[in-house]
Amino acid sequence: MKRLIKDAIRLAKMEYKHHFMAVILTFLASIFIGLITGLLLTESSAIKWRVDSPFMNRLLLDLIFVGVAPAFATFFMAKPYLSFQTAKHDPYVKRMALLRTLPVPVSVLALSRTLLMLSSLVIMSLAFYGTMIAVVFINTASFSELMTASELFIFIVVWLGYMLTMGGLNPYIEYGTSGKTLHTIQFIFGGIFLIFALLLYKFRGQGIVEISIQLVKSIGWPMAIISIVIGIICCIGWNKLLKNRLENRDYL
Amino acid sequence: MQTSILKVKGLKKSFKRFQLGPFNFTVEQGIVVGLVGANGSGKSTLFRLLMNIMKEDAGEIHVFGEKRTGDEWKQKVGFAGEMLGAYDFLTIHEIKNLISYWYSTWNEEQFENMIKRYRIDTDEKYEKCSKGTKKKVDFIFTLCHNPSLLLLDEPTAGVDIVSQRKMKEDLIQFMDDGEKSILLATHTAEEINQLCDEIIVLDSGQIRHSFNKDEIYENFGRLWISHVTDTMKNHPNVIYCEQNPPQIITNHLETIENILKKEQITINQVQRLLMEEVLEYLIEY
Repeated sequence: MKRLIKDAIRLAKMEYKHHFMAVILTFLASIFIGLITGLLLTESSAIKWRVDSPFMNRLLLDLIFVGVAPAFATFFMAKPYLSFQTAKHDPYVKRMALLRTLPVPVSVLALSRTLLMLSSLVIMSLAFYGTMIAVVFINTASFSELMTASELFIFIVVWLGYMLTMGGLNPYIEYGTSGKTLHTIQFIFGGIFLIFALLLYKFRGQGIVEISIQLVKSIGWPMAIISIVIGIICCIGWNKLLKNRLENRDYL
Repeated sequence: MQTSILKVKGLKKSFKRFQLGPFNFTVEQGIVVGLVGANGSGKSTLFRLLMNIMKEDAGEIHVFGEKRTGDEWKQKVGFAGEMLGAYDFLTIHEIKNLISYWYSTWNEEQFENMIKRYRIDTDEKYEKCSKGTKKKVDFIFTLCHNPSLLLLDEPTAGVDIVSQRKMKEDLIQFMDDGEKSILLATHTAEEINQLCDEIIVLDSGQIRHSFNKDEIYENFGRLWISHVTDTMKNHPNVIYCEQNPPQIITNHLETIENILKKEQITINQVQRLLMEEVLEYLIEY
């Protein structure tokens, strides 16, 4: 077990070394997204969604938390994510194919990808939430109308749970499917998100993030705990699925 | 007594427009088996199935006398199948670090010697290397962990003549102790002549022929004859015939000579076939 973890960490560390530029760019992009989110949140609390386009504010916030945040679990500024041309050559699958020709147990490979996902989620979330909190605290007066500091903390944990749940899927998509699927799935997810969000706006008059803030206020900590527990369970599940897939798939 | 290093039983893999197998063959200890066939005949797919990076639909693969389970068996297998391109953004030295860690028997000294022998610059990025250099790097990595079985998919394709010779020397040296084996896909008759003991001919995903190399030298021949009859044309040991001038190619000289005598057909000349000619006929016809 100790050896398995050590080897998986080694492989994950190597990925950081090999994709240093993508890590840096993803980190910077996470800061930028955090900045926008902070501005959107403070603006929303200050003017209660009554800016020129409340619809756009709502949609942007929902898009960031529901659509973009799970991507913090991977280096989303890496070439295969930015270019379909690169992705369609299946770079992730080819890398895994080489590793599968080596005497590396599948459990080590699957764990290394899960560790990579978790560490990326932690680093990018720190950048995202750190920037978001900084912006929020600069505009404390307007934000305090929306939620208290402890509610903000619960809000962050709730969404971390969601990121863990959805982000845990990233290694499976990268190494268990094809480069084409990597891009296709983003469009499918985007489409589903858009339909769901628009229906919600029409019938409830609220956005997903707004509803989550309401729930944070009414349920509090149990909601954060439930969210994180679901995230952890899903993460373990995704890891098992990934291991099974790596063992049985056709590479190349 | 010979031991099977690799045993393939009923191995099958289906694709949309291609079916590989069922394959049945063994690679015995101390033997080099050459795998020949036209492009797209299934050689690379067979290697991928053997290395477990493709999943078989049916059949069994036994390596070193045991059914392939887990990944430990890969410690003793060297595979060259152009897989390194996936990490082409790394230098050869970095790729070496990625690979060598996983082999408990990795021989750094041997690696350094081979790098010098093949004049490889380890600081060069893999993507910047020429096709031949990539092949040489691939080849070096297969040998540096003291494997007992080599699976080589066209290892010398695109490699310069001097390095080709060195590679052949290295493979002959690898086979020296008589305990190791090689499965070698190649398009070069010279490699078959110099290295292989047995030959498997693949065509459209099927094993069409399987020979011992000596059988080929003994049995394959071209006969110039007085005339070609229908009996001769349709004989299972005649693999090719031509009317002008009348001649036949056979995979069993003795049998055909006897039949020709019985049919009172005059044999004007007999010629043993060269390996490249044999391969051409086996693949083409």
